[in-house]
Amino acid sequence: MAVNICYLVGNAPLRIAAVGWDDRPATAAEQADMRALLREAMEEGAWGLSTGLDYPPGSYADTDELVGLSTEAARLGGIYHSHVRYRLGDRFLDPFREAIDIGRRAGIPAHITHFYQRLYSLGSASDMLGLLERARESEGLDVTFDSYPYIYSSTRLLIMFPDWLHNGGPASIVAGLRSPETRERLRQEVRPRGQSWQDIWLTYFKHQHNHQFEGRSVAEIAHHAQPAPGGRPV
Amino acid sequence: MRNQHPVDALCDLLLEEDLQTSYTALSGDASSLGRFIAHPLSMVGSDAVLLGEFPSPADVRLFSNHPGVNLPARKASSACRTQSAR
Repeated sequence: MAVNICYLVGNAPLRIAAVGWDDRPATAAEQADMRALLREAMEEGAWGLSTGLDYPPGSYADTDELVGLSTEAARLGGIYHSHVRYRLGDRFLDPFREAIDIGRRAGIPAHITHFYQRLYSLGSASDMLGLLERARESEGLDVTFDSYPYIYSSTRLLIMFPDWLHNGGPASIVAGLRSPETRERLRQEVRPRGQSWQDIWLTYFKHQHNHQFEGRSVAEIAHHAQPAPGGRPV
Repeated sequence: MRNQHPVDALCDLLLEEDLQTSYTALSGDASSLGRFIAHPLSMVGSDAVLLGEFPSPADVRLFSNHPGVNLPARKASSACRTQSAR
């Protein structure tokens, strides 16, 4: 089978280049810079724009900013590819509605990646598939998706931490993780991205003394330390 | 193993590991997965990076043995066989 590869330009590196790591709207000049970088990349062979809207600093882009970038990509015949903003609105269909809306407003084919029903979904598979089918059939929008054929997900652990911790970039994250006050807030806000800490298995430890944690659940690693009513472990 | 609040354990590990730690989690609804895979608007995708000693199943096998997803797996393997026979 032939191997075909096409590259997409992430909105996060565009934002890092033009705006930095800060959680704020891009100015008009910064948006123009991002469009220019995208245009340059597509003229050099990229096929379109990609977003991972659960990941800062790409997640700091609002819908209008993404429409602006997608309009530029559309002008060059590109596509809009999106890991949607799962925490948006009703946390079920609204994240996908944003992707469809970007496709509609920018006049660009929209492709939604890892589109499948979550284990504890707020609605049905028919609701999800119907949303995309209606966008195509009623409006003539070019909407497609991909799904991976297994029931496990995998990503960076930092995705469970709130956007405010990421504001400013890696150095700010490190400072926050070291701060007792920030730790207290994180204990209140960080929740497992799944049913429980028992269903989150950690991996990718570079230090030898942490290799014992490979494949262990967070609950195991923390030794089932349960939070007391004040959020502190017992 | 560390006798900590889970969030403190995560924070300490992230600091020790330069923020790189990853995870695998049970995420999808197996009962509906086949509908998505077999849908005419879909393509088979992957979504994982080969990291660590406990990687996601995506790293070691793209096509699962789930009964609902046999169709695309068969199509892909058939395509492979067709190509290799030429």
